[in-house]
Amino acid sequence: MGKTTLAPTAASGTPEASSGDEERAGVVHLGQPSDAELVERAREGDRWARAALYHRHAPHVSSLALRLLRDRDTADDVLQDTFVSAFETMHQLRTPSKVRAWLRQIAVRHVQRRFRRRKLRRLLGFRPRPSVPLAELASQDAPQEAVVQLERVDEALRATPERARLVWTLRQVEGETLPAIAAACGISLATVKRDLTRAQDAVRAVVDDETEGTR
Amino acid sequence: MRPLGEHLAQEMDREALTRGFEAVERRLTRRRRVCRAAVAGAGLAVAAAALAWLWPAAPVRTLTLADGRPVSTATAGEWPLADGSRVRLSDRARLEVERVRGAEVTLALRRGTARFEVQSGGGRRWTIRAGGLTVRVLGTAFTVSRDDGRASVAVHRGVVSVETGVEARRLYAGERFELGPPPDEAVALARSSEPEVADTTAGTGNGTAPSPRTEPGTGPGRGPGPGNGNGPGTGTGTGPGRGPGPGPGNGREPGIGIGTGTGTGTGNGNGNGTG
Repeated sequence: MGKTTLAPTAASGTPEASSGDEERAGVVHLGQPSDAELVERAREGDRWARAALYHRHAPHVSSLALRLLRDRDTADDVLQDTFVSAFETMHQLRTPSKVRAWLRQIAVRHVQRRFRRRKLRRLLGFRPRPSVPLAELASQDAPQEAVVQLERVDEALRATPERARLVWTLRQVEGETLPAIAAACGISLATVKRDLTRAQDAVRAVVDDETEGTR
Repeated sequence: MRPLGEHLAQEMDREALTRGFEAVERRLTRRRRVCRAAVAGAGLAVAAAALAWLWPAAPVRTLTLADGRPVSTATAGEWPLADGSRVRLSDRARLEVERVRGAEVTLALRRGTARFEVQSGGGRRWTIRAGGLTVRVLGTAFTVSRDDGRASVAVHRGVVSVETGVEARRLYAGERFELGPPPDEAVALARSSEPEVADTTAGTGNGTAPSPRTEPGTGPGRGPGPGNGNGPGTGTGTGPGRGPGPGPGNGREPGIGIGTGTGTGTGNGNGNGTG
């Protein structure tokens, strides 16, 4: 099955496909409603606007959840939870144009909730499910050296605590700023830096310094 | 340095997107239903609680006697009650329990005479209705009579509150109220008491009453004079002595006559005290 990302068009009754790269780059096609417009319409109960928002941002939220959790089923659950929470609390979004960052923040909170659940399951003696290797999530056009590096990073992060791994992934994989990570995780900037350093040290031990980037 | 995320896939196929969105919508619908049901349930619970609180309890129409039997209508005889109070009814008396709600006990004397000896501190508030007369008991012994449209209450001990629909007053030991049959539209309420009333002029009746009505009334005083009319109309009384005397007159407004002294006299207006 061909992989595409979808974006809505105002003229049609259903959201239509558009380039995922363009979406990520914030390109808005002529005739396509902006995030802010879609949020406004979704707030008024417009199902089509909700569908459009989902089609536009679900791939991003899904991949974020999968990279953080490394479990496809749980990531699917987090994707659903994120959009259910978002649609229910859409009136709380202060800046509709920043809906993607807001969704990411909600997703991270749900991921953290899953981490806590996992921890409890471990304490109760349940065996953890095998996690999906980071390299397996590489895109088809990723260079071979990037795939190798992902494998090494994966190996290095296995031993780090979950929150440090989460912070490192948000910083080094998703490219989030430190304040954004602090806001998404609900922790202080100092804690973010401490966790990041801890994970970074573990990564440095097994891979080249290529991934360093703590600012 | 490029973030590692740029080497990772970020795609979902159309089918997965459609399926995912439908799942989200189903959950939203379900949650809205649950939310609505919860709100409705909470509303119903509040309404039911309010109804239960506001809804009057089914009236209890019985009192418990000292021997534990319930009684709803009492006739001639002595009726000792569970709280220590006693009711003695005359031969043709009939007393009905109108309502018992918490500490409130309302009795209706249909006819005859009933003497009450209410247990002081029994925790109950007694109300006895006899025709147009309502007696509220504040811990006392008293007698209520009702005959031919006339009702009266005499207090032997303690204090009761008497209401006629026109006015209310307290009645103390030794005092007596009588509510006569309403002549025309008027209601006459008479009170007699020990010689504590002001005018003590012997042998002459003295009726005073501020009233715009000038037409003199007539009516024989039943109490000993001097009478002291206190109400609409004017009254005169003659003769020594003292005593109560509601005298029917031509007054159109209710009045209260207080008569003291002995003798005979005539009174004007409703409630003329005459001697």
